[in-house]
Amino acid sequence: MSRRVGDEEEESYRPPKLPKTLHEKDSAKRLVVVLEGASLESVKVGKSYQLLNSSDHASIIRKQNRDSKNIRPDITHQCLLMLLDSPLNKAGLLQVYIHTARNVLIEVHPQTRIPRVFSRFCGLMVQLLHDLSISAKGSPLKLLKVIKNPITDHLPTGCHKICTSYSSKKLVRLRKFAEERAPDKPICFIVGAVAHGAVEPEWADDAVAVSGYAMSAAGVCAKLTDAFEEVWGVH
Amino acid sequence: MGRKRSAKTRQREAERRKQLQQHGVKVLGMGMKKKSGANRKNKNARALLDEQVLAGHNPFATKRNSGKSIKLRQKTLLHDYKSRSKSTRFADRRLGENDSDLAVEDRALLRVAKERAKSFKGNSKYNIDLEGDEEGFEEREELLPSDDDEMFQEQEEALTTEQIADMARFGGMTRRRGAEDRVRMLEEEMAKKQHEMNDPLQELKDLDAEYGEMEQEVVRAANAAVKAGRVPEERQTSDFDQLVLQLQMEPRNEASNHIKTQEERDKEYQKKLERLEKERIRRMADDGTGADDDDAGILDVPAHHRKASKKAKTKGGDTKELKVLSPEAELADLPLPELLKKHLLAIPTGAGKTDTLTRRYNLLWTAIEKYVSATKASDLAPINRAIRTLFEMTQSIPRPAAHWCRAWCQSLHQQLAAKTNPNYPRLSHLIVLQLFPILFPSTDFRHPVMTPAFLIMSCLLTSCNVASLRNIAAGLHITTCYLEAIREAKRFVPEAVTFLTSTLLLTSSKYSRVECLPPFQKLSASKKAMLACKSPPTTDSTPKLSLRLLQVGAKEMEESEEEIKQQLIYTALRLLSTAFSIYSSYTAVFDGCKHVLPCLRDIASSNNHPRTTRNLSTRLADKIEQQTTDTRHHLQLQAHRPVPLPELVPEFNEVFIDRKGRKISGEERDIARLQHQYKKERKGAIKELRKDTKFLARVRLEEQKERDAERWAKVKEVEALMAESRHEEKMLKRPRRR
Repeated sequence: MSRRVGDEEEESYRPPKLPKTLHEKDSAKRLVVVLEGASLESVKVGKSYQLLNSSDHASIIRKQNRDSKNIRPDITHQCLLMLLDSPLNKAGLLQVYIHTARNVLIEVHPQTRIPRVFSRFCGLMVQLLHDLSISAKGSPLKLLKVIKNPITDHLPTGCHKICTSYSSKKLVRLRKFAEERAPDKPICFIVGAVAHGAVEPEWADDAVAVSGYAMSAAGVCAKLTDAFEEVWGVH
Repeated sequence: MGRKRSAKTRQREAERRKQLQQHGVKVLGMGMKKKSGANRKNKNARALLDEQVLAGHNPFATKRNSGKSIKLRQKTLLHDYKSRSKSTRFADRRLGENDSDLAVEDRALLRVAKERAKSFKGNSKYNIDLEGDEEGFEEREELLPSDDDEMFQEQEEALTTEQIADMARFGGMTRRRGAEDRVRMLEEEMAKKQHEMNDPLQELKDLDAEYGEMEQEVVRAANAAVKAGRVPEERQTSDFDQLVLQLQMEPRNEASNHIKTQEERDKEYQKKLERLEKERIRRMADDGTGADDDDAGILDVPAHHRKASKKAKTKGGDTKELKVLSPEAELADLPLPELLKKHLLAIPTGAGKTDTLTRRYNLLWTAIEKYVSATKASDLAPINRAIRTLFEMTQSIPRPAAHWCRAWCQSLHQQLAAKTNPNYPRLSHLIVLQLFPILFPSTDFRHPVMTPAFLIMSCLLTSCNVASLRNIAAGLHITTCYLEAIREAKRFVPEAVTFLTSTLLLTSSKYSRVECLPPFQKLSASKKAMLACKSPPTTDSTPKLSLRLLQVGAKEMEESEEEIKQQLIYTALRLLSTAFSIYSSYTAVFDGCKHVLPCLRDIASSNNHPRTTRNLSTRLADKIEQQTTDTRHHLQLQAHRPVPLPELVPEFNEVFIDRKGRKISGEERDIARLQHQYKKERKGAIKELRKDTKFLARVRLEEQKERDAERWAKVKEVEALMAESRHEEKMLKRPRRR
């Protein structure tokens, strides 16, 4: 097949293509971020359902004898905003999964516009947990989807699965790490969407600390996207 | 288990059980031992079952189709299937029977006509049979009462012709004599028609005559009324009414029947020919351009004035004309101011317009050149006045004018090409070159006059000798003309810019760059600094360069050499400033002029130049510096930003209510119910269709089977017949035993 002159120019005027086939998903360079231990739970208040929230549902949490410090859906919200608004995502090089504390696995489409207001985000998540999928307005495309466990079935074959943890002894400079590990192949990072403590899933290959200080989940997400933008030349 | 057995086994079993019971054996049901006493309910059920069995009802038989739907299909679908290729619909083919627009009577009439046509056996159907062999009518007449003939006769006498005609059209209602009546009436009708056709306007004439009479009557009556004083007089004072009345009363002439005789026609024709011949002769005198001489000649004079002047010319005679329009021979000797007083654009009748104008145009140019040479450009006012006349002439004869100008350019070019190091042409030539952009559009990319003119200007700037101050002044004059001409089009003229910068570089011998540029490279070493000013100026302002400088000799120049140098430098700076303002958007021009920057700085800092020159020089130097040091953006390959993935907004309710628990409105419920109903009905319909297909397939299969069986029977029959005949044949062939 002969390429027409100016094809490259035309291509640069189009939005990036997302990987579709299994081969593309396994081979194309991509950053996969798994938000582990997210607290997304729906609770019935009166006639309506709401997302369980430490500030609004204190009495319910007390009744269930749980620790309100661990129920922080806002962390997931912040992380999602940070990830999906990044240039890396706009370039189509990011894939996000959410794994909740209740073992629900959610796939987030890169084109999703996460609601900026937390209350709206709660509404979105509650509907997702009940309907198991959320489609785009005026389009049949599923933006958020509850998928089948385990997460490893959905990750690119043979990619590195790296857990980020403050408690890890291995402190890395993310940019250098990215250059070494994933110059042009997919890589998976696990970020704990929790207030404190560490997440250490057994399927992770490695655990690294991205900073000498303890960082928030959103901060780690920002650092990750920034490092990979630099390495993959997304500006 | 029971369901799996066939009906027959079940029946057999039941019979066996019956027999066993009769023999007093206790049966535990279906031959299976059930020891557990827990299932008491089952016991009851079993008893019920036994009862049913005894009553002859088999509860294990699978529920068969009752055949209700099959029966229904046999009635409807099968009927349709069998009659699918039949067309037994009755089509009423009687004439007009199906036409609902016709009345009942009309329909009957049509039917009768058709019947008649059917039974008609005559030779020609257009003949009206006078003998009256109309069987159909006869038959009908018999039905009518025949005993009151007299009454009919009486009635007929009383009837008018129309009524008779009406009756005749109804055929059958009249008696035997009807046919004759009809013929008579037809004849009358035809005669009437004939009469009408002979004089179609008769009716109109009658009506006209009638209307005329009525009008007269009305007017007479009105007049009588006015006289009698019944109508007030005021009504007649209205102008409109009066006019109307006058018009009404005006006698009208009828068109005469007079036809022109042959002699008269010949006379008219002769006149026409004479007129045409006159025109032809006049055109010949105009030398083929007379076609448009009515609207040419005097440009500014309005049409009615022109007519008047023409009349005056024809009536007044030739003496008057000569005053305004002198012949070319007289005009040729006149100096320019005198020539401009004549009305050059006025052309005498009879003379060829284009030729005359062309001759005068050439005359005018010659006069201008002569004037410039004679007066040494001391007074340019007559030339300014001549421009208007020149422009008008160029507009009225564009082609000859362009031709003249091109020829002029060509001759100048030939003169230049003949010399190796030509001087700049005379002032008169330079003035002519200056006039061209005024007369012709200079913004055209290609123009028959302006393109050669520009070429000759460029040629002059690059090839002419610049060794004297006069020549540099001439070059600056041409540059001025050039920049003036290209001001609108912003055409880049490298020759002009180069000439200006090179002129400036002549102020000192240290600028070696001047050597490589076309007209200046021929300069001898002594002339490299010919514009260098050695003494400080007497005044702080610089007078403008005068055109007279181009006419003065070398001796005169020496007297005021310093002053002239100052003027030349100042003019060059001003022209460079003009060029910069024209080419402000062409950044490369400033880069091209970068080499004069040290020269400009030197002029600005030197005390040998007046203040105005120094200021201008500083400004220009600043401008060049600013334009060349400004950061410029490089050409970028990817001029646009990367296109991001489009964002999609998720669709969700902010407050989530479970769909199962929520209350729905009546309307929504109705919709849901209807949707459910629709789904159900759809399913049922699909099922029914499937059953229909199945039914039809079965019917077709049966038909096929029937046909096959029939054929098979026939085959068998034939085979049997053949076997029999073969047998008989064999029997015949077998030799008889004795």
